[in-house]
Amino acid sequence: MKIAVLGGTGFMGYDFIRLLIARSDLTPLVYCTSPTNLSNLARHEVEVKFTPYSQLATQRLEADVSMLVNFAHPFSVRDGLSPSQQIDTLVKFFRKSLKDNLDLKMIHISTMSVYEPFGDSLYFSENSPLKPPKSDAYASNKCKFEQALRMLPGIAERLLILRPTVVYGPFGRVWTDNLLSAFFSGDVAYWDLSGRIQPIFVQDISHFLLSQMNGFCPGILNLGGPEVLTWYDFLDFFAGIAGKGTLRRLEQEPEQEQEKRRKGYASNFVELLNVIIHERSFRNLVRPVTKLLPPSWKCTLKSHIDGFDKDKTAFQADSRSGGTYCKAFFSRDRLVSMDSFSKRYPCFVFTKLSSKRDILSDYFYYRFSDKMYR
Amino acid sequence: MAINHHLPRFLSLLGSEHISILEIDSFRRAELASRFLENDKIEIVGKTPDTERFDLVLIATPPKFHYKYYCEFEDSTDHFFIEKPMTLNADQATSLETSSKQNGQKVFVNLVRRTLGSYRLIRQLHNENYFGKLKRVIVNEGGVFNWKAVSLGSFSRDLNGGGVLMDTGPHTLDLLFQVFENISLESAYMDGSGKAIEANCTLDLIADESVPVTVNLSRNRYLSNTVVFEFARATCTVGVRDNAIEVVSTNGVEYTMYPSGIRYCESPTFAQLIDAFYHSFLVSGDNSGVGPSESLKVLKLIDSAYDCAKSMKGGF
Repeated sequence: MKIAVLGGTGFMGYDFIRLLIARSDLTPLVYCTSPTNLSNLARHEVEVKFTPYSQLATQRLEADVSMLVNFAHPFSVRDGLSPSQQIDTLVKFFRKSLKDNLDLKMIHISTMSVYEPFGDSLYFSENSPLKPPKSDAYASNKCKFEQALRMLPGIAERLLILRPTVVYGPFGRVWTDNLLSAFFSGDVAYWDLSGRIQPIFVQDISHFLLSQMNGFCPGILNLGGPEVLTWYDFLDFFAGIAGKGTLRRLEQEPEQEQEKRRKGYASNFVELLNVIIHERSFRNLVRPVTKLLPPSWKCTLKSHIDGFDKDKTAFQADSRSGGTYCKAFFSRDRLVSMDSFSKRYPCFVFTKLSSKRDILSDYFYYRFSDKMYR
Repeated sequence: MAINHHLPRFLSLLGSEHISILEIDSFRRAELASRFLENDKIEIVGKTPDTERFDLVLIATPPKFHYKYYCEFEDSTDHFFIEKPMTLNADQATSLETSSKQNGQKVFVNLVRRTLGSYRLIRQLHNENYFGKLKRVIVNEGGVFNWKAVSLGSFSRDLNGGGVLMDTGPHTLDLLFQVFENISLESAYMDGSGKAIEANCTLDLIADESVPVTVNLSRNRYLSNTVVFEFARATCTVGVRDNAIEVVSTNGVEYTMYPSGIRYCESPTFAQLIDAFYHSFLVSGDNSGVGPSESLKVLKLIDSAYDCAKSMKGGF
């Protein structure tokens, strides 16, 4: 059985592909839009088809593919395409693939961060309306993408959408590497980490995906871990693994702290721009880009760079600090209902965070130390 | 690399009046043509020009094509500038070295770390026995690969010849060749097997017949990016892209040594290293230290490592 994976170079995609490789009855075929993140995948004998985003819409999926698993999502600007254009490209690729291969099934993986609004003690269900704040372009685009997929003709019986919550595990950038790195650098400041989450181990998701290869069931499913933890407990667990910094509560209101920091970052950025803007090579590179900007943007950009008040001092980051987790994000519950999942898969077992201490400790030494492997 | 790093320097540091960019992929060619539409110094071509002579030919393709393009442009120039590794393997490197000698051509291989003074200073300290006998060297170079690559080149055994050892390996081994005359391989361990390519590689080497050297390379781990020289009376730690040498003597005294005559600060950026390379070698026309013979030594070591590599145990 041939399984096509799009977005297989990322954290969750790579974990799933490793499981597929270990199975003799399943053959992964990875469609890759950028070679940048291929280091891990290239270690395995797996077929990779490199197709830049700009050519994806016309890419033909191999005829003998039975399942298409999508981890790709619109983000930033890729290959010169805006998020909307990326959504358009991805949807065209899926529409064409589903049309060409009438037996093809599809699984789309997203993340819980986009399925807002959350609320205290609210367990977000599969039927809750998706209303991320308009100011959150990342979340909004992911919602648009999911909605566009659900509009594809005849898709209801052919599409499974999974919405995992906070995912952690080896090679996870946001909720593993960044945390380990922060605590490895020193103490980590926080203000309110009382918000609750249901962290899920990446390999649990991969195992569930694997179970769908021969037992596909369409629909929408939330995927949360087996326990409800506060962000404090979750972060503190990673502090224990890194074994260096600890969580340190700020003495100041986070808004003031954030404002101070924001100004610091902004001033550093403008300062950086003021330096590089005078570099000839930078000007040569940026000239074709600025020509494409609307006139109002050009004026704004220019005024920000030329009109910057140089007397403002940059925020001096505490060199011993590993970073901060002060956003209001961490004070709110982000919980999902697992009722649908439990009804459909009562025997599927998720692993607890505490049971992953050894594997994450090994990973920490692998990822962040000079330990030799022979 | 060619477009973002070399092209601006060709136009500025080398003062090039006319640049032909050969791009065989029609899609990329169209992109480049559109990007440089208004620059009358740059033309984008789809095949090797038949008769044109060039002051300098830059080869910045995946390594598989380095030797092929050297041969194609052999009669068109007296100066080649080739990205590292110089060729896909030592056999091709030997042929290129022989041909360029016969043709009287100067070949510059982009080993940017030759512009660092720190490793020359370590060589001097070692040769003068300044800190006593050199007992051991440990190299750790690694980071998570985030180069904005435009092709699968760095991740294809066919195109690149291997993984991290062919990618950052030439730079790392070149640091050692700045210190030692001869380096031989004792053993090699890599992850990835068959058609797959390694993200991690550990080499056990012997330098100048007596000094054990361990090299740990990775492109999916955050390693310390340092070279540690353990002398009898001091330990010297140098960043893989740094000019500063942190010294801790056996009696506990800590201080920093700097080489003299360096163009840039103690921790030059990649851009500064390339600028320094252009000034030190291409502008001056002197390829001492960055010619084919140095690359041949590196490629022989790499070939032997791939020939005898054992599977790495552990890790993720």
